Amino acid sequence: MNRRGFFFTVMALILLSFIFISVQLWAQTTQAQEQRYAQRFGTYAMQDAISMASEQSLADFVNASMVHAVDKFATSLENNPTIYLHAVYDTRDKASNDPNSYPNDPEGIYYLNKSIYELMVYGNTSGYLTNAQNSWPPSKYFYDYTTAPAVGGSSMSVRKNLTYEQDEMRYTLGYYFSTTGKAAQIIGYNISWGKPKNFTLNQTDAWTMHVHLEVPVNFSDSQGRLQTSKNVSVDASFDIDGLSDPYLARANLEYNREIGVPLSDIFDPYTLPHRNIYHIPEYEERADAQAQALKDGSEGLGWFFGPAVQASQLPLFSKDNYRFNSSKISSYILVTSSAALAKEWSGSFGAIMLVRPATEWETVRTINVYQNGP
Amino acid sequence: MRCGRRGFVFSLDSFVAFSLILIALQSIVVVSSAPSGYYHSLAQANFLAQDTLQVLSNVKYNNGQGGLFGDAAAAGLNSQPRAAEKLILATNDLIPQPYSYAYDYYSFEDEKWHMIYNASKEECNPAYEANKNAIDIGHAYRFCNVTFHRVEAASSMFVGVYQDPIERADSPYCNVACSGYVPGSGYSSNEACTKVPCNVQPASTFDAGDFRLGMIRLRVWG
Repeated sequence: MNRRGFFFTVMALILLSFIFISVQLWAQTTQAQEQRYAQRFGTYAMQDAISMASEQSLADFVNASMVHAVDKFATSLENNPTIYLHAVYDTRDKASNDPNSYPNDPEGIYYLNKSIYELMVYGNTSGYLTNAQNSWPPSKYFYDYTTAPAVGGSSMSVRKNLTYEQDEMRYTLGYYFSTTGKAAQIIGYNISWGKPKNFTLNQTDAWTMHVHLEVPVNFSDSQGRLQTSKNVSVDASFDIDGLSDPYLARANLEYNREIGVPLSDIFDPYTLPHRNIYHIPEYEERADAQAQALKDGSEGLGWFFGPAVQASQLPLFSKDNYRFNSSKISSYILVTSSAALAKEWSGSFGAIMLVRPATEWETVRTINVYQNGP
Repeated sequence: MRCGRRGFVFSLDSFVAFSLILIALQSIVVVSSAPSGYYHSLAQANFLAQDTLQVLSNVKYNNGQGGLFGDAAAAGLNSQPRAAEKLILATNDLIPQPYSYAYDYYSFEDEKWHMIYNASKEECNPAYEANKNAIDIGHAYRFCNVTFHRVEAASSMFVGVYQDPIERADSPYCNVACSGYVPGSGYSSNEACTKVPCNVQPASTFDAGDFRLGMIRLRVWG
């Protein structure tokens, strides 16, 4: 009887011990989970902070910054046509045709890359011409601004750099760097950015501009226990559809200088040619833009409206016959592939449609990598 | 001899009793120090907020310029929750039954949090109830009056968003022969022109948009 009691007592002890050990294991497991939750929340905060310094985040901003800089640049060229616009025209003599003699224009594209770089990073173009201060005309400015309010009855010429307005400074990389730093501090981390380097800006095809840059970044927690650094490399592209195209104004300026047109006439805003870039899907192929008579009608449409006349029908018309006086012929459109015929009848017909195959024009321009900024 | 064995039995009994008391006390201590289910719920709410933000941040439209958070940022700054309709409708589908949620936007310009939308309040607004023909934010009535019960967790995300998208300029050349041109709406044909071709220096109407940096915060509670 006593031995049986002893056996039951031992079994009860074993059972209780097993229950006790199970409860303790469960408790330790849940305690470990609790600690892991805290670590997880900390890890998520760190992930959020690191994502602020990610390639994707910077690429999104660089894209917006580039669009704004290029638009600002193109619009400023458009609105301030002047011979002293260094981003457009190098005032140095190019007669020698030696690229080494143009230290102010090493890229052959008139400071375009440097201007965009400085707008994106600093919000102004004050740095890139500092080495040309002794040249004439004075070079440390972006454009002449001659319409400043008159002082003492005489007009005042104010030379200015291209500079962002205060509200536009949020498109600069400097703003992005300071903002990500503030955001990281909110969740207990520090981000410090270095100077952008290896900046390149290229037009990769007819409609696309591409920018590449690299920025060193340091990341640390508030206690300084975690520290890491890396190079954030960014590539961004955007469609230039709709932007003002400064090339036409620049080419027009050079052409008019070559043929000796007075400067005052070259920069007359009412005669200065202007072109925006439009990408119209209907004109994807060059043949799509070729002049042609409408297939489903005999009359032209658009700016010049009137019956279309083929060259073979010309014998029916006469510049001398009273039945075809000039006012009557001028309501017709002549369609011909002959430049001679077009020239001969240009004074009689209302419009000439010179039909010939469209040609394609292409320029290949090599752009050097711009190292380490100005 | 008999007395000695009896003493041994009594000693064993007292030892067993003492062990039982120790086990009971230890169990009470261990169980009471173990975390409650609160942490699981808190973690779940946190995951919900984090995953919801992550998923919705990947929704892009308008050639990658537009996103759900762009509208939300404008809604927060202008105190017009209905401007964030797309974001709200998407979130209503992602937040499950026991929870409700709210969005805030942090502007680095004024360094303040701006309330975008509070589902527990907005979805139950009598004004919206009375005007069901107005823009429908979702009428997810299940969020009505869901107040803090056990947990509230939040997740935030640094975002760069276009509050106003880039507007491609209109071609100033309204020649119908150019396959037709409709100002501001593409290139379909047979539409009236509103611009005169060959104007003096037709300026580009290109608009670079309005890009802002900010933070979106999603709070989830239930």
